[in-house]
Amino acid sequence: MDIKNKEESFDPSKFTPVGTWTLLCLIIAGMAVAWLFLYFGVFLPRGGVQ
Amino acid sequence: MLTIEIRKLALSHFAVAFGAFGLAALMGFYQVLARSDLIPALQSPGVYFASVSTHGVLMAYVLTTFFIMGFGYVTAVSSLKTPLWNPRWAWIGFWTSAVGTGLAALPLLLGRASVLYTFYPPVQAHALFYIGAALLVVGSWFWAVIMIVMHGQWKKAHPGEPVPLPMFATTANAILWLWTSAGVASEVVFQLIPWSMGLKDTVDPGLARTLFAWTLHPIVYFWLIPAYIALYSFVPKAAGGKLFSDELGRVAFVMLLVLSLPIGFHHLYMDPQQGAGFKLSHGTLTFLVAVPTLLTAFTITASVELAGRINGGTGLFGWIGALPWRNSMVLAGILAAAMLVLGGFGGLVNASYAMNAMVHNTAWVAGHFHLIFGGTTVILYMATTYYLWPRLTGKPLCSSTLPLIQLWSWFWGFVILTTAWHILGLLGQPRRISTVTYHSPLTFAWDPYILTMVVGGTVLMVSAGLFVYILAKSYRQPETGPIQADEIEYAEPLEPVTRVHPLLNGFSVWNIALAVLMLANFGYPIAQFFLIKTFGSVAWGY
Repeated sequence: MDIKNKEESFDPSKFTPVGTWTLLCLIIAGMAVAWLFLYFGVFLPRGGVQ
Repeated sequence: MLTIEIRKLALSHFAVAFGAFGLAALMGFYQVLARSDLIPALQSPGVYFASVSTHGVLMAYVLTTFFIMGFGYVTAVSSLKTPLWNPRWAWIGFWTSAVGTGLAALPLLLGRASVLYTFYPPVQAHALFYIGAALLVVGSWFWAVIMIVMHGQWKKAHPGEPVPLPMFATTANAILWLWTSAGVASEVVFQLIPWSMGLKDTVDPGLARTLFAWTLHPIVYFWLIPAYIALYSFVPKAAGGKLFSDELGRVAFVMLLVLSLPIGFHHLYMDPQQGAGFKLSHGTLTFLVAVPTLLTAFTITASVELAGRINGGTGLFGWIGALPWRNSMVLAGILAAAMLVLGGFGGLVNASYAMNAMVHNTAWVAGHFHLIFGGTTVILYMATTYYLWPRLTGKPLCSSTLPLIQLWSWFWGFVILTTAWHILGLLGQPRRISTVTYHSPLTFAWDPYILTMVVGGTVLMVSAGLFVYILAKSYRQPETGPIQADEIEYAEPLEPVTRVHPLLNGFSVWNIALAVLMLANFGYPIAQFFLIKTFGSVAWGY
């Protein structure tokens, strides 16, 4: 089935990338959590240069 | 049209690129073995640093520059549907770069240019290395000029029409490269060549590092933009859909051009020769340059979500399973995105002014840039080559399954290798060391990750060999006949683009914005070396 036929069962003009938004929000949230963990959980506890 | 001349031109560039890649991959494999200390007979700091310097130069400069030039010529003629402007210049550029590569290779392979791919003075290489590197860059300027001229000629012949997105992005990359390479070219021509030839006794490492920082970060985007072109131009079509937004792509490429240049001081956070204010400015802009990557992530993910839904995927994430995972371009796009997320996170840590101190000069940094460059960028070069190879050679690929195995193994090799390096970096292992004494209590914690690194390196060596094998075997297939440029199919936008804002169709204003940003961020930091008294350094080693 080519794109044209497939588009008959799914209308691209009504497409809203809700899966994309969800996926990107999850990834960005994961990166933020990982950054905070490294900053507060690893970097700061190591203290200053001795 | 992909005329015989264009096919020959592109294949010549790809031959140099992937020849260099194969040699550099072998050296990378040797390096993980040497660093692991598993085979004591391999221990030789001299050989190790000659190898790591050659590996870096071949991967970062030769593979990239030749691939980008070859891909650029194909993109220009196939997207604009016009003949190549000035093929003679293209060949002059090719041979200039090829001769430069050969000249640089001699001292590299003889251990007379073990200055790593950053060639930071006062470590000194043989003059031939710097001259060869300069010629490699000069040759690429011919390509850049051809791309810019073709972009301008097409716009003149098609007033008011939007330049096709692949060519718009290629031109952005050509302009970016001219700006980018000016820094390192100045360093090499005015500092390193006269110094290495004995015309000057000393060199100013502070100025040299500042000029290299001008180049060091945007060069990553010079490498990455062709990979992004593949994401925008090939992946949506290969997935069975359309590009979600052409305009968002243009915005992303313009932002990459303007924002990737004035940010290089995040490589100099620990350097004393630049002030904290300028470092903070560069650091802030570094976080801003994540925006065009986020725009790209959104546009491409939305495009493949559209394709997945057209293919029958339902639910919040059902479209992911409905994608054609057995298409090498789609697979590479997904794997590249996964590595971009992991590598991008590492980049945010590197760019964090304070936290950078924790990972500075550790194996973490090597893990980060290998994931972004070797992983995200090169896997898309590979998929693009699988797509273009039959169209350039007129011969089909020898297998449809082997490329998938190769791409998966490339992905897992890099995940294994760089995860180990990130952890080793946090455990304090320095980068740029040939080996360590692994029987010290200090380094016991490193042992499992060293073994993991060897596993990752082995997988990558097999994958690299498989890539070269697939191309070579396919090249030996019987020819199936000439293939027309029309067969290079670019993704259509979801909403047809008939007009775009002039700011998203040309670069005049953006060049001015870039000049202002560069003056603000590099003007005084460079001028200070001529306004205040500084002291040079004599050469080290070699």
